Amino acid sequence: MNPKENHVDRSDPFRLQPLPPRVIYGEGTAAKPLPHAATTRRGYVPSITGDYGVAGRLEYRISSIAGLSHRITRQVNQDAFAVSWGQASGLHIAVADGLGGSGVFSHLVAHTAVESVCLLLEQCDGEVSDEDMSAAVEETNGLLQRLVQHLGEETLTTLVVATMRQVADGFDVLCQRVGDSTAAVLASLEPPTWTELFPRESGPMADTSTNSALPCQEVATESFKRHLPAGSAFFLMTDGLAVPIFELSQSCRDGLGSLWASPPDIHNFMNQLDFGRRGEHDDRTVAGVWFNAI
Amino acid sequence: MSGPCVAVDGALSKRVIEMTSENSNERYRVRPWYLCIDRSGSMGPKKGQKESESPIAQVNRDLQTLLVDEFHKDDDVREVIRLGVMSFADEARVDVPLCDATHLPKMPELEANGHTSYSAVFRLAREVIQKDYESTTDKWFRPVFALVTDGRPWPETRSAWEPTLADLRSEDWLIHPIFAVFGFGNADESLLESLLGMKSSDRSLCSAPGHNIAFLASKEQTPSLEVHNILRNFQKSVLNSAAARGEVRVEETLGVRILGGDQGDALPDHRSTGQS
Repeated sequence: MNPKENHVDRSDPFRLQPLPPRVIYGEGTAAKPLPHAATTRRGYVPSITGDYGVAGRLEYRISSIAGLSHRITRQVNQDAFAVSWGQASGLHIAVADGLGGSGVFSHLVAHTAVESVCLLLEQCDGEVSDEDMSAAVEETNGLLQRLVQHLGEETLTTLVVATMRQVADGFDVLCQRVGDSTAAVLASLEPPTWTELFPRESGPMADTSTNSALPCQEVATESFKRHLPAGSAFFLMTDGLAVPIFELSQSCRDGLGSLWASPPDIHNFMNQLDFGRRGEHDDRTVAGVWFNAI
Repeated sequence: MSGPCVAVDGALSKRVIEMTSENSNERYRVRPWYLCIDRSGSMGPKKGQKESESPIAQVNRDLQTLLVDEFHKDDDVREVIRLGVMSFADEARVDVPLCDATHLPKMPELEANGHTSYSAVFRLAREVIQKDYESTTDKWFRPVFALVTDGRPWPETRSAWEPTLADLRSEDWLIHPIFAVFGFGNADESLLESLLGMKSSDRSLCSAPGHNIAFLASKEQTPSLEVHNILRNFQKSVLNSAAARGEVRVEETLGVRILGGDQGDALPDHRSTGQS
């Protein structure tokens, strides 16, 4: 596909365009009709969700899809995302990955985590500091502890949250995480180049992963603060996307890098996240933020 | 993905390895299934029984059905599962190196003779799994070691095979496999349970209960039907684990009962805090 066809026509942002066929990176079975996923026993969660918006000169796209494994086993998407905006505090986006092996209601814990932390950051009076963000994550952890106690099961979630503020030549990002959800920058080079901003904890086995999650007794966050120049894009994502991009697939890394060098329209963005690849059937969530010159 | 080329049919092994060589820029998450089949003399025809009615003949027929029905046709299985086949009697050998069975034209024909040595197959399995892991660029879900047996080790004693079992199941070994044991014929229920660490004299084998599972075929049926039921159960286990990706799901089926492990959902939770 011509990358230009991928990007939003701002003269009519609600224009519906025919979606291109599902992209296959590397080997993969042909796209086939996806089975229904949601089961009301665990509450209804849409199999695919998306959001988009503009905050000053920051433009974002977010999408989350239920993995095929959850659809087949009739479970819901256990990833979650939330966005908030404070005039003083900036744009806040959080992404979480409920850990399904740990409980039936991990999607509720993931949703609560992202909504709580975004709400708390939105309420900051001015620029969000590292301490402010740590306090928001701590308070969210306390809320999750009470929720898990109420649910009566040991349910866990990862959390990665970022606050973005536009500055003259780009935007400043403050980011914290607990667990293996991650953040990355896509540099505006030829070809566009991904750099993961947290150290990759690549487990030796496919079913070995994060050592930390919420809620927990003592919250240990990893954090960074970074200035991103105009032209670069910033991403938060769960391991369902991070693992193929950063560990397994050059074609996925290059393909999505090319498609996401500038903001796609939301329909294409959701479609592009729903790529096919052999053995990749985890839930996927990604939030992309671009500094643009509308 | 390639495995050690020690199959009886060398040409077949070579072709499988060539056809499954991988692009180093593209790695995949896969679940290795090692199917280890008892081909000791007891698997052969009994007195007055036709060769075609013997357990080993049924095994050979069912293996071919398994290949065609699941590995060649089912997308979910083809995407995730990698299959290796070993067999054992007095000694153990690799019949099909770990491979994408989509590329495998036919299953090996096994012949029954000799005694039953568990130590030989446990020792070989540990070596093979380690070599396969080192030689692949793929990212593995925890491998599954599926043992199909109709009897008990003989003439070797428990003291001979138990240390090799402990090595294979040791949690200190990064890639220790999930155990799925399928018994029929004269398979001893307590012996099968001890393979899972449920009744072992060696308490070190008793860790991580529920991550492994044993099935026993009903003895009210003919040996041929017992084999068929056991391999059908193996087939369903493979299918379920492929559908569930990160999980190994197993379930009881007609003519087969579960001896131990988590019924319906033996999920190895290798994340220290959970599994997404």
